[in-house]
Amino acid sequence: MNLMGGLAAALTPSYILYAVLGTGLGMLVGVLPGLGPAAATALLLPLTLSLDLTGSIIMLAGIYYGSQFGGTITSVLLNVPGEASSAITCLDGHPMAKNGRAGSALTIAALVSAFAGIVATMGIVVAAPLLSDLALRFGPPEMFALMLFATTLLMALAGDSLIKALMMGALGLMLATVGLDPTQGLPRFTFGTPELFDGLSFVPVVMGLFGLADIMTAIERRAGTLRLHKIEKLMPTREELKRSSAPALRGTAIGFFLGLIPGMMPAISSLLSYVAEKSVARHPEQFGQGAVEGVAGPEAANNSHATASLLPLLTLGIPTTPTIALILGAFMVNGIVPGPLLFRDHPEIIWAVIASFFIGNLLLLMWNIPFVGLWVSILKIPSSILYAIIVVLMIIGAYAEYNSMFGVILLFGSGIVGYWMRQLNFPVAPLVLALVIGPLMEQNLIRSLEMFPGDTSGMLFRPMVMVLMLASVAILIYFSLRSAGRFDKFVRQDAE
Amino acid sequence: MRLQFHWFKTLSAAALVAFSTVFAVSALQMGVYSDFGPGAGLFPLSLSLILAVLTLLWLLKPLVDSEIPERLSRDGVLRVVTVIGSVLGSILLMPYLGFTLTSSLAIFVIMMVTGNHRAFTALGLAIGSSIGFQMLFQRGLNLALPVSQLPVLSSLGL
Repeated sequence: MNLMGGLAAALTPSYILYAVLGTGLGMLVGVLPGLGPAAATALLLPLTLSLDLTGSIIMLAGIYYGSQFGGTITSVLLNVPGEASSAITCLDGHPMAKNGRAGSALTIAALVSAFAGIVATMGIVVAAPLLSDLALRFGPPEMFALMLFATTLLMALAGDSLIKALMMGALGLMLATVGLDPTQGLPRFTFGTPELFDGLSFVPVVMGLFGLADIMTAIERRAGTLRLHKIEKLMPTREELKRSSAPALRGTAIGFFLGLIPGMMPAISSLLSYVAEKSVARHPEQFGQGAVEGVAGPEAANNSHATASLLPLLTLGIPTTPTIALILGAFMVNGIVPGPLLFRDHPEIIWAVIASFFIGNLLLLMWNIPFVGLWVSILKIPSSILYAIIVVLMIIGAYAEYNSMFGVILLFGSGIVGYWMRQLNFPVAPLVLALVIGPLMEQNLIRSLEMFPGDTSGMLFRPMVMVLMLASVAILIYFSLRSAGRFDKFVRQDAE
Repeated sequence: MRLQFHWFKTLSAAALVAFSTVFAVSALQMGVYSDFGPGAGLFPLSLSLILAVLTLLWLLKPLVDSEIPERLSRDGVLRVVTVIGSVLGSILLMPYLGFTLTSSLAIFVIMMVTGNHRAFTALGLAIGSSIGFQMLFQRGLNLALPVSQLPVLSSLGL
């Protein structure tokens, strides 16, 4: 099985339907306030047990990259980003809407996003087999070191404070130890609760930490009346299309490479792309006034980033964002561990999923341009109705996970913890990623220690392990110093 | 506000240290290392020590103004408590009232407290969407949602 075989599978009516559903739901999630892609993916995760696995992954991935598209609509029409990655689009997308060019901004964003997604998928097609061949040479020590490196990088890049990110990472790894221990298979931290024998299910936990806590934070303040700008003409001018082409290419490249780094959020790619466009622009003074380059570059970057960030999951089994961690969970609940062996043991799944990204990105064009009116009408629904319905949907999702109220209790507890974390400005992503990656990390650590009984130096002095461990230490030192510098600046500002 | 937040931070740190201590003690009891190799407590013990040390470091860092959240209005607190109460109420009531009645109640309460709806509209929407969800999940997706333990309600299919 290869890409062509995958394409043939992805073009079957049932998989096209999964892609249509996934991308449509992704758009909806991007548009709706209070429901991010992580919470939506968590909500649908229990369904993957009763659906076809390939189709489920196609749908969940569609939600992820579809949400990047959906977030743009609110950025342009309302000056409110639907997703963090679309925040930068407000700077020029909203002024374009004010100037009567909302349709152009949305069409250009859709076109460059689809282009970037397709190019990034081509990048995955080329890089994935090479990377998985390399990863096949990894033993448990290398896998442990790689996971440690990825987790360290993620914590270093998450939030403002390194200490807070590390604390949440450690807490996530601790919660991941609940369940059967990998040494003897005996219950650990389960307090005699049978539901905990398989570990803390991340579906209610993620819905609580992201969805419920986000809603609690959002309703702290009463929502004002939305003032939507009218969409008069959808087609951009030839001049606008010409001005968008180079930023789309640069944005795609920036997004693709940053997407491969664990912990690098799509918002960072959008921001860097915006800065790059402004620095190469002939008229930088137009930025912030409705420059089309300020929409095209960041939109291409965030979609290319979202697609590329699936590469570390498919080839190394490393999730780079909370939503991707849930896609990893969808594989795992179906008894498949993503990583280098996926290409050897389940090529029919992996190539169909990769091929579906081409179709999904084209479908997003369909969802975006002809259906823009539908999203605008959804935006007009009062948030109080949406929040009430989303809360009940989360209760159903949490209940479905255990088929008992235990899931809802977990949702409730996680929601309170998530709200507490937001009050103290703790980042949520490290906790979720550590919770998902934790069991694999511990398993590889235990296997490594068993390979070298009584002598850990044998494990540490393997070349790849040494490189990855030293890199992790270097990252920690660099970001600690940077964090300390920032802290000093805050203290000085505070004193002044 | 600064003093209140300082106390909130201190209490949070104390809770995290207490959690780490309980975790560490349990991990020690499971066994950390033996002649047969690593024990079940090795990984959790290392992590709980790391969390305890990091929490103490965080506590020692002085507060900066940008960390302190804005004070919530009374209405804001009421809205947050409503959402918390709706989920908690669902946990407590769903086994007795079943899914449809409990979710109708939750949607109605959240809509009334967080929005400006007329009671009749909110009630109609709450009942309509709850029945819709039940049809979709129970009949469409074959997911068994909770039914009331009370014979009167369960005989009505609620």
